Order: sequence, then structure tokens, then C-alpha cells
Amino acid sequence: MRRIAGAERPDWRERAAAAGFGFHTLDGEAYWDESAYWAFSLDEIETDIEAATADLHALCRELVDRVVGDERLLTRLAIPPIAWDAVAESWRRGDASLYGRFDLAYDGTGPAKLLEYNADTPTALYETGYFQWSWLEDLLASGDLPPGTDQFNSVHDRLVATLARLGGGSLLHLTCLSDAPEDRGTVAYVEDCALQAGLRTRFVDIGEIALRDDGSFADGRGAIRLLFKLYPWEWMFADAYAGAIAGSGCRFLEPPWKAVLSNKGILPLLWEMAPNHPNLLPSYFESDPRKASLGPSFARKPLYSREGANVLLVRDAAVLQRDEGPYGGEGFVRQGLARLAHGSGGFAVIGSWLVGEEPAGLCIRESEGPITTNRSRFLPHAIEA
Amino acid sequence: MKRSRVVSLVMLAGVGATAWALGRVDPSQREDEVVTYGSDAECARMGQRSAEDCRAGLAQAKAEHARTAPRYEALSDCETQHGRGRCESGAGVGAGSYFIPTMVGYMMARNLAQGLGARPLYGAGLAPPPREEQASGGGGGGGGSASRGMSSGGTYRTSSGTIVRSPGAAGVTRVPVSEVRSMPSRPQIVSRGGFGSTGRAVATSSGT
Repeated sequence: MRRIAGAERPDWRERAAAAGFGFHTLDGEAYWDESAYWAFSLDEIETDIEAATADLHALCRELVDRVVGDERLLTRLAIPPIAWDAVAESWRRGDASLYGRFDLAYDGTGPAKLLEYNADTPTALYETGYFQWSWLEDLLASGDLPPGTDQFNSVHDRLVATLARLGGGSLLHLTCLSDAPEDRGTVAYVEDCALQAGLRTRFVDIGEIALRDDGSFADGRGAIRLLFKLYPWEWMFADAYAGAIAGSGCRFLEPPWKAVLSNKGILPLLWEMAPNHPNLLPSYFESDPRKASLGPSFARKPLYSREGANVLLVRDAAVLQRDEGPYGGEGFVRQGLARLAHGSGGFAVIGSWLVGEEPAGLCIRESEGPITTNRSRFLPHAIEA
Repeated sequence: MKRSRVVSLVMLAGVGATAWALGRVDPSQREDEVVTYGSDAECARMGQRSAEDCRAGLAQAKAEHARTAPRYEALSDCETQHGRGRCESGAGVGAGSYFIPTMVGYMMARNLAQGLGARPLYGAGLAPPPREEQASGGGGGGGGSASRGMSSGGTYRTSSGTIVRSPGAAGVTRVPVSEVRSMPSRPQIVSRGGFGSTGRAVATSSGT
């Protein structure tokens, strides 16, 4: 894999505006960055990323199966007892999952290593599935990329196909904190895919959801039976309606069992289940004395955190980078350090998507420092012909 | 090829959210036979149900009409759905005024054993009504017949907007059972706003 500086499409901002991509620049800083792209060989994609993603997914499903019926492990993951029924029942029913994103450390010289799994509320979906795809098509059409250049990105196709399996004509509600532009943009994209899949859709702000006397959730017009929520389970479980989830008759995307996986506590549990797996980094709970085996270089991550918040990187006992934030109350894990791809744009982390249980494509985010935060930039990628 | 073949946006690109209308038909929805009638006298003449059932059915349909007739803010919206001259002013006054379609008939199960209710029928707005009906207007009069505005066409709309076609003004047809089943009482909202506070608190404390 290599980073190639290239020419930006002169009109990409207009194209973004026309396609509803309003958050390409956040707080005055570039988020979408096509001044360069990362190029991969087909073998790197298929062997090192796609196959590793399928492997990690299988490991994760095995882990969920172990955790949902085990109060000790649920406690270990700081999943509150009020949520246990909803989590376990959704897994036993086989409630469908729409998507998830593994963040991988990979620089082309060894196996990809799992940094964390955004299993519940991954963003960068629209940028990956639509805008990155149209970037490649535009550069192929203009001749700036040679014919045969490809991209690992069937995200859009698979989203529409997976949503279609929910049943044509079904009413899908979608929700998030609607004043967050990036979240609202992602939800609008999922809604767009749902319409293309033949579903009916209705957006409701998370704060507008009501509870009715028969236990069901509703918006102002009627019952919510199927809800896509870009609002993490650990927050829902801390909200007032936590106890009403299991009996609501509502199916969720992502389903409650994803609460098990969207939790850094899976990193030590996966390492315990599959020690020395080539795609895993050694990891321990902060309370586990075996953490000492990692030596003086490690990453410390809160069980729940978003956008790199509260992550601490230590190399040779010296703090490399620390990101402040509101997380960490539920405990921490300690993970061995991984080598990240590095180029003139800083450190690059691979986001590898699962859509409907299949590896579906990737996105790349670059940051000046080794912690990927909400100030990172999204770069497109290509598979060289 | 490792990428999507075609990527399109229907909503974000401003093309309009029209695709969903294609997905509205639910093939699993059960249907049953009903008979459409222009009046209770017509119902009695057809002989499928007793004259007494016909009168009771009309009364039930009228009661449902009062309860469930679709409401429109503008007369033109109502007439688009139900046809010119097939709408009337609703009961509201002042700020609460609205328009409802005139009841032009009713539908009822072929026999009592089906256990289904009687429901009002409205014009379908697909063709202009015959001239003499336009002139008669008004509805809801007492006596034995539903109203003088009854349709002689065979295409109706139910209160939920479903199109019902029968061989004539009165005739046997099939409709989704949900159209003639007695409506269960709607669950009531007991509270609102039980989700979101944790996220808002985190968003505030992290300064985003």
C-alpha cells in the first residue's frame, strides 16, 4: 500500500453539496481530503483485509454467543443488568445486523491488527459507500486513474440488499440526536438506502420517542416496530426507557446484542479466546495483573469511548499521546501497540466494513497523531490495476 | 470488481422520495369478500343480507364515517382524492375547519359469519361524478337511505384511502380484512422523552 498525492477534482465541493454531503468540512477543518489517496494491491485487499475481516467477524460472533448467557462476562463488559434480557433475547432471536466497522492497524508489511470494533454506531458510512465511490468513478471517467483501477467498496450495494431483506413495505423509523450534523447525515444516507430497498421511512429525533401503555415505543403518529438508531446502546441503557426495550416489540438496527461488541472489553476477551491470533493484539483488562506482560509500551482505552476520546498511548513508559474526554467511568483495557501506516499526511487507520455480515469495503482516516479522533481526515483509496 | 456496480441516491440527491410508494403493497395481507352498496334499500334488494342487517350496517358505517372520515385542510386536496363535488365541510368551525369526503355508500361482509363490520365508502376521484349527483350535494339526511349523494359508479375509496372496485355500484368484491375489521382502541402514549438524555449530557460535557 502506498500514499499517492494527486489532483483534487476542482468541483468536488459542488458535487458534495449536490449529493447532500454537508459535513465534508467540520468546524472549519477539512474532513474529506482527496489531495491524496491510498493505493493497494488486490492481494493486500483480499488476503490481508477482506479475509481478516471475515475471520474477526467469526471470532466476534463466537464471543457474543459466550457472553450473552454469562452474567460474569456481561458484568465484566459493564453492561447493566437492566439490559441483559434485551441483549440475550435479540441474540437468541437472531435479530439481523446491518453493519459494523473494524478499525485495523495495517501498513502492508504484516497482518492487519484489530484496534477496535465500532459495532454499534459506526460513522463514515456515507463517505465510504457513496462519496468515495463517486470519487473513483469520476477519476476513471476523466482518465486520471488508469482503466481497471478498482476500489474495495460494495458498501452501498450491500446496504440496499440487507435493508431489502427486512421486508419491502415495512416501516423503518430512524433516529439520532438530530442536532449533530455528521450523525444526521449518516442517518439520512441509511434512510436513502432504505427507500431504495423498498421500505417506508420516518425520521424521529431520539428525544421525541414516546412510550405507550401497551409497552410499545411510538412517534407522534404510531408504533415504532423497526428502528435504526445512531445512538449507542450504552446510552440507551442509561436512559429512562432502558427497562422498556426488551418488552417493546421493537426490532433495532443495530440489535441490542451489538452492545457486547461495541465495547473495548471484547479486546481482552477475544485475546483470551484466540491467543496469538494473527489479527489480534495482546490485550488485558486494566484490573488484570497480566497487563504487565505488555511492558512499558501500550494503549489504554476506556471500555466505552467514541472518536478516540480518553485514549492514552504509552511508549517506553513515556506518554505518546493522550486524548481527553468524558469517558472512562466503566473501566479501561490495555492493548499492545500496533504499527500504523504512516505517510506525509500522518498516521492512517483502516476502517474495514461489514455490511449484512459480509466484508464490504474500507475507508481510511488520517490523523497527525497515532490516535484517530474526530479531527481526522477521510482519504479515498483505490486498488491498482 | 470489488466495488458497487451502481450507486444512486434517491432522497439526498433531491430526486424525491417516490420510490417508497412501490413498496406499499403487502402481499401477505389477508382479503375477504364484501359487498358494496349505494344505500340500505339497495342492500335489501340484493338479498345477501336481511333488511335489518342492511339498516344496521348503514348505521354502523355512518358512525364510522363520523369517527374516521379522512380530514383535509383544503377542499381541493379532498376533491383530488375523492372527486369534484364529493366533499363537504367538516364539523369544525373557525380555525378548526376542514373538509371531509361525502359518504357515497358502504361495504359490508356477505354474511354475518365473517364477523366483519360495515364501513363507509367515498368517491375515488378517478372520474367526475354524474351531473345530477353534483347538484344534489349534502348528506347525512335521516330516513332509510344513506344520502342522496350515493354513487352509481363501481370505484370507491375507503377511509384509509384504499381503492375498492366492484362490478357495479352494488356488487361483490374483495378487500383487505383490515379495512372492515373493528378497530382496536389505539394504545395511549404514557410518556415521552425517555431516550436521549445520556447522549445530550455527554455531548455537552465533551463540548461538541
